[in-house]
Amino acid sequence: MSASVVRLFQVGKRYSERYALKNVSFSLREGEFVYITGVSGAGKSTLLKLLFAMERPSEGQVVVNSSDISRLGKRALPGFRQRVGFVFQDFKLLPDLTVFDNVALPLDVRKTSAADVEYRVNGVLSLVGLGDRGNDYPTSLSGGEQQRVAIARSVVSRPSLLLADEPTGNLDSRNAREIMSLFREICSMGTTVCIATHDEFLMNEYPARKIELEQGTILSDNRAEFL
Amino acid sequence: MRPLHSLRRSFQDFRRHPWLHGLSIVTIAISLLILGVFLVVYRNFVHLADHASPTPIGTAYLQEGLNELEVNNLSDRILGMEGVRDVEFKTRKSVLEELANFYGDSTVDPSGVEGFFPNLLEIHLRETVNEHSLKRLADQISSFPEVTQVDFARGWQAQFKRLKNVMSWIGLALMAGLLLGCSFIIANFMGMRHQSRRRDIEIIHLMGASRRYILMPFLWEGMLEGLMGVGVAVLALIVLNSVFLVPLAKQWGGMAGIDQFAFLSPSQIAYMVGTGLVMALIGSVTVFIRIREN
Ligand SMILES: Nc1ncnc2c1ncn2[C@@H]1O[C@H](COP(=O)(O)OP(=O)(O)OP(=O)(O)O)[C@@H](O)[C@H]1O
Ligand SMILES: [Mg+2]
Repeated sequence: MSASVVRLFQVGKRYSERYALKNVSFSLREGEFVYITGVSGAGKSTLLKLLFAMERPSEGQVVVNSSDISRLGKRALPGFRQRVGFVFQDFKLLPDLTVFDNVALPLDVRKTSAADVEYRVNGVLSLVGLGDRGNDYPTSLSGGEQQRVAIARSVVSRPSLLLADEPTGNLDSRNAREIMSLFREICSMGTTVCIATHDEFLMNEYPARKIELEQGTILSDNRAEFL
Repeated sequence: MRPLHSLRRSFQDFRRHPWLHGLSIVTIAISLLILGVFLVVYRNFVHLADHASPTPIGTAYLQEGLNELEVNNLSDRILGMEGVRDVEFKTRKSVLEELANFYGDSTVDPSGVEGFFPNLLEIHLRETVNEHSLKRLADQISSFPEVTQVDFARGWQAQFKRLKNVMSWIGLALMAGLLLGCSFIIANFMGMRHQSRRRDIEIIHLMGASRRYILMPFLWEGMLEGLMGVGVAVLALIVLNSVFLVPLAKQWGGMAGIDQFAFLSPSQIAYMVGTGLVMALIGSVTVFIRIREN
């Protein structure tokens, strides 16, 4: 049907002698919504890091937006990152920038016009329910609010692939639901969304393809159900 | 890109690390102050020399036993030569008196050394006389039989020129030395700030920032530090000038025929601005190299 945004072929990731991922193969289509799940230590974060070129595979091939991660040069990295959004498990907000400036960062690095930045940042901030917190600093926000800032920042540049590592980990169920429907909405606009989570409740409420990892290998992939 | 966004990020860093930035600025200011003091001294040295000797003066030492007619005749011939403005006859007696005045009466006993000093003609030249015609003039005058020896103070001028050259070289060496030393120190401060911003830089990198985007604030910081350092140095020089040089000139300037010392010329200030900026920029550039290594 549509082109694959992500393609992994027999991917292995080793830290010293231990495998965090081993023999992982799957692909994600444009606009697909997928959960990466598994117990703690199964390799979810490692997998997302490979997709964001924060780590290089030890074996096999990882292709994202037609870029082979193993062959991605230093010069190509900024351009590659600009097309992929990432919600980090530890948020990675800049404490010295306001919420607005934090969210504007992915636009600033791409030389977006001031008016466009203003419009889009305010847009996503109200989308995550922080429309009136733009001038605050991250340290003055609660954990859940910081998480929503991180989410706003990851989608503000309308990436073709959105990766999220436990994006609802710090949210109450009401906020978690809102965030999930936000991800759904982004997905419906054509972005491929890939969420690492072990929140069974959410996965049941918003059913989608689920790739389950166990000790670094794929235990199950219900891809067929969502074709 | 929002206008001067990187400049704003620099200002934020000035607020975050006031001490590190302050130290860089003080480093630049102190070294520029040294440079500035040297430039002021150099400028006044040149000025003073110009004042002290607006035109060269020559001395023609005469044979013993010339009569007044012969002396007048010689004076007229020299006065008729190109480049000569005035000729003044001085007897050994008047020369000795001048000397005695200069050294204080007791040190020289005119009667004792009278024999060593011949009568002489003091030759005042026009300002237009150059090195070349000076030599021709000296050759011509020394060929007159009434003249034993001609001294055109060329030695003194050459000495002055040499001294001026030496000072220029000292100035250049001083600048190069300060430039190197300062850049090294600033580079270290910059490195410390880069270190403290490591986490931030990593995050910005993850947002897809290019090297240029990450490094621009460091360049701005370098420029701002350089400019502020120059500002502090020039202000300090102005204060030093009004506290020391102005009263000094009032008290002693009269002796050298000047009523005030010269301050920095606009081109010298431009020179300091340039040096300050180069210092700070060399410091910033090392951050580029550091980041390349990562
Ligand atoms: N940088 C690293 N160096 C060494 N080992 C690592 C590194 N990163 C991850 N690992 C190991 O790889 C395995 C998978 O880790 P990963 O973070 O991917 O798990 P996870 O599924 O995200 O777990 P969690 O749900 O707790 O976040 C773990 O055993 C971990 O110890
Ligand atoms: Mg994890």
